[in-house]
Amino acid sequence: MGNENGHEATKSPADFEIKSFAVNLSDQTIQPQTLPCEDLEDVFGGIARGFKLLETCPIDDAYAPNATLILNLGLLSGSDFMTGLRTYFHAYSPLKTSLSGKPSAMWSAGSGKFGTKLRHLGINEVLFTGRCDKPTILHITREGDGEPQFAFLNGSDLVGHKVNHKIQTLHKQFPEAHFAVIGPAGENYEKVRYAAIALSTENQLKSGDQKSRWCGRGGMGGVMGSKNLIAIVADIKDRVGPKAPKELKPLNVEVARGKGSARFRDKKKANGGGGTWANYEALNPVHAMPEMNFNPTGTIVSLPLYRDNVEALGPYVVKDESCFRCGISCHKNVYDEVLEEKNGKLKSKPDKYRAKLDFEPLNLLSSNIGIFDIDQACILVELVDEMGMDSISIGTTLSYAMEYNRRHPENKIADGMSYGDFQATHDVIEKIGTGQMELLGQGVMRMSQELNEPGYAMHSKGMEYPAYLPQTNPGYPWALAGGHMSMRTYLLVLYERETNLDYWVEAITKRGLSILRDDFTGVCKFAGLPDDQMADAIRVLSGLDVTAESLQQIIRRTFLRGYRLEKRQGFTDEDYVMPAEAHEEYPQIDLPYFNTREFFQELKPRVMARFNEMLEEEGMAV
Amino acid sequence: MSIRVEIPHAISRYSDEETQVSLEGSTVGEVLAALWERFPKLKTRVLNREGNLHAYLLLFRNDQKLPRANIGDQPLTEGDRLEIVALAEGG
Repeated sequence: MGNENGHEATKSPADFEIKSFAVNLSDQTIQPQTLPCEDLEDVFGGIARGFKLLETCPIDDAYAPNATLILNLGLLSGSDFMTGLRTYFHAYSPLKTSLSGKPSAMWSAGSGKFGTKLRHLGINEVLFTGRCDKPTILHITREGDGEPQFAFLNGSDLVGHKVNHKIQTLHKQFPEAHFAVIGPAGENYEKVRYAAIALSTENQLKSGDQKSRWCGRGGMGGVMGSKNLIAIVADIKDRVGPKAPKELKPLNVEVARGKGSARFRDKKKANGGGGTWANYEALNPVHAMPEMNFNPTGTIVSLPLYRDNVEALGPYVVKDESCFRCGISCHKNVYDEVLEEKNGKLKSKPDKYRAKLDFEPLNLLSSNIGIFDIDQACILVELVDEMGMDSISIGTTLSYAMEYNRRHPENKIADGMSYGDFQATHDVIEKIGTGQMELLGQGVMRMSQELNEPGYAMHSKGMEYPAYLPQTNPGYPWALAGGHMSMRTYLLVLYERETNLDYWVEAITKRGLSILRDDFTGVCKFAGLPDDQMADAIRVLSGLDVTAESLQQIIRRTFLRGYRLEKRQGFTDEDYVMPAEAHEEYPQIDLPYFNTREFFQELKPRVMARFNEMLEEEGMAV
Repeated sequence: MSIRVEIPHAISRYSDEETQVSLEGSTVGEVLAALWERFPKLKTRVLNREGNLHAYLLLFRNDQKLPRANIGDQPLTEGDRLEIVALAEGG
């Protein structure tokens, strides 16, 4: 994109271009195009552009060869803005589906260094269609300032291997490159609907450890697998661009040290909250944290999984590590502890890397399936990553299966797996990832339909809920479910405790959408900059004349475009529902009980009416 | 003495959307009392029934986290910055 640095910020969309490449995998042809930007959505990229593109290529089968898989960047991806590392994949999802059976538009975003390499290659977006006739590695290079060159390499030797093996193997072959790869789950896409795409990181290539970042949600790895595309290699030496404008420095300092990212920073240095893992100590005291398939125990049984306790009880070391050139250090990486003698004293040091523990994978692969042992949790989190699956979807699917088995001891599924049964859970995860357990690989919606017990299947529209209680979030059905929740209503009742209808209509139709902003800016949500500072960063780096208000307008239009895409794929009012048991009262949850069936029945028509009004107001009516 | 207090967006609904105010006080307790006086609805969003900081909030003084115990007794000096941080968040 023509985003040469400009400080006066006088540019309009017409001053930008998109370097787009249509890749037909069936006949291995490339069609490069330089497209003029028509609007701010085109300039920003990410889902703002991705949804526009998906509107042009609707399909009935997410895995059909003519289905389009879109890879693109956000405006600040690969820039000098701290956390500007996002890569986006978009497609019609094999998981998120209307009741009429049509797949819905979805996306997933991840950090790592792959996006930066794409930027250096001079690529804004790639549109994949067709299907390779054999497992394929797409190798992209660029000489000087020339056009990117695409080569299709035989990827058969990588098939069947886990994610980190694939990345390390490719790293040996292409030492300057970064990678987007699928795991065994993506190869077995017909039996696993929630396969993810892994993006390599600098830490991963240097250490050899499984430290990928993930485009996890919605089964984008399965779509990539359905195209027989095993890996994408962005192979180019790092390029040093023009010196970053001086106005950028205070904004990057704000990202690294400001209040927006404080909760994600290093707890040990006493200047941070300790990352999303800290949700254990924030949510569990009010029993608002999923346990046993989103049914909190009301006890302290999850206490051993608090970070403080993991470090105190050992033998583990938790290191706060970071993405490429990011000062937040939100990664909470767990290592086995080794004690070394130095000057007659024993010193604790990290030894073998075990897992990166974010709240969602940790919670959904431990407390929510009845596992309260950190060693077992690390093994399961790592295994799910290595198989290349979305930890949210598989975690929620496992907990449903365990709950089913608890209710049906005479007729168990999934090898009889029960809450807390580590070994059985481990074996089931391996089976799912290798396509040997299709019942669970289909995700919780389809499984619950097959078992005719949808009441405790924790999903909306086929997307499994993340690790925030649906009992406290009636906004879930309208989430586009791309990032973890994509509706900033998931912690409102914790902080604000409001339970009246007017409040929730406003929360869902206005404030809830704001979570989408960083799904098109190219930066990480953890940067935490308010809209005015984000607009400053965009102006400084791109010269685009943009304001906080215009960011809000793009958020609104992007959400509405996603909502319109759902309608066009057959979603009706009946699709916007929650599982019945999410509306029941759980006295152990120390938060107001309000999301009753009656409340939701009153809320829903008002929310739908407001969204329809907003579509009219934007001239986007279906 | 004047202390700058920063309020997270997560609860700024109860501070009339103000996320930064200057208040007088020589201890955390005094400054918080001034904060409740100015924004009465904010108190129950920051403190629980026992008068302790909610588990999902943290309090920082000049970028350093304050211990939860006896938080009101913590002394402040002119120009200090007191920041309420919302701990629970996803992504």
